[in-house]
Amino acid sequence: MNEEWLHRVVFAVLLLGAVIFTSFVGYEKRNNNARDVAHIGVMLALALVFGVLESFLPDFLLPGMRIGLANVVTLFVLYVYGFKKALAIALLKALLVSMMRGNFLSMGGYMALTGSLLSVLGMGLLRVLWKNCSVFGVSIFGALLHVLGQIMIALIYLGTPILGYLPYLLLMAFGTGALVGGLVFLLQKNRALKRYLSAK
Amino acid sequence: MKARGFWSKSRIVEACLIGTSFLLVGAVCLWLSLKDKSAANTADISLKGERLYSLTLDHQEEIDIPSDHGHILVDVDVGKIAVKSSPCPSQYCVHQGYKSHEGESIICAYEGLSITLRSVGGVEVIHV
Repeated sequence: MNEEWLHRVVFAVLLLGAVIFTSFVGYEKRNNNARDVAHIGVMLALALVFGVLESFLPDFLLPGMRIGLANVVTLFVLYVYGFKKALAIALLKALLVSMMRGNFLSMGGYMALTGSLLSVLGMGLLRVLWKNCSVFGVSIFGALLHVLGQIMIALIYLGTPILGYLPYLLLMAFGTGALVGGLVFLLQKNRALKRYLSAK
Repeated sequence: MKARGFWSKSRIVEACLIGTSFLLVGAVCLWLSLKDKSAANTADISLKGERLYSLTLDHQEEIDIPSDHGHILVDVDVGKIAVKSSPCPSQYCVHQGYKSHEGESIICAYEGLSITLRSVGGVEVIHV
């Protein structure tokens, strides 16, 4: 086994450990019931479906440019179920989608993972530091961090030429972030969904 | 008058912050798009951050670059360069067509390929 493969195996073990740990951390004894666990499962499935569906669509405008529909689920979970569960969903989604797309442990997989992780951490932190920030602001901030996380990995693999795309990707992130924020805003305002989620 | 509903003071600050950042990033994009670009005479081809070729754009040539998922075919022409074919699913690098100006680049994120164009006086030619 050469050194590169050893690195990959170590990284995979660490990654899986992190995901399992996050899943356990995301489990809260007091608030968890079978209904919540089922909801989280459905959310993860939805995030996976969106993630895989988007991978079938061609890039538009810029390489790697996507709307990030799966982030609707992550943001919704962040608002309804809290940070830990959103982190668990984002990590599992990035991991499983990259496995399904066949780019696990390659640049694409690392980009998705870093982008998702940075985005959820940033959105969670912003919600703590700025409690009155709207869902639009949180979503746009998350989208910008997602781009920055991906570019960090692309810089390692592709070098500085990728920086030429950074301003354009950031500009697009404002639009996609606002779109995702708008969808979550509509979901939050949906009375039927509100009633369903608050029913015991 | 005190702002009520969605447009509270905090929301106005937030909208201003988002608007300002958007305008700043937009201005950078506009500047990058409109700035004068001279014709390039050299192209650097790198795979996964490692430079494979640095060649002058004064001749016709097809370069076959082995990659993780197959072969990338790069078409070099007088004053321009393009990715002719690539095994990547999105084919974005191929659709970008020919690039001919200084500072422009072609990226294939799937294969880790980057082609950067520059303009230099004395040209070094490296074939690795």
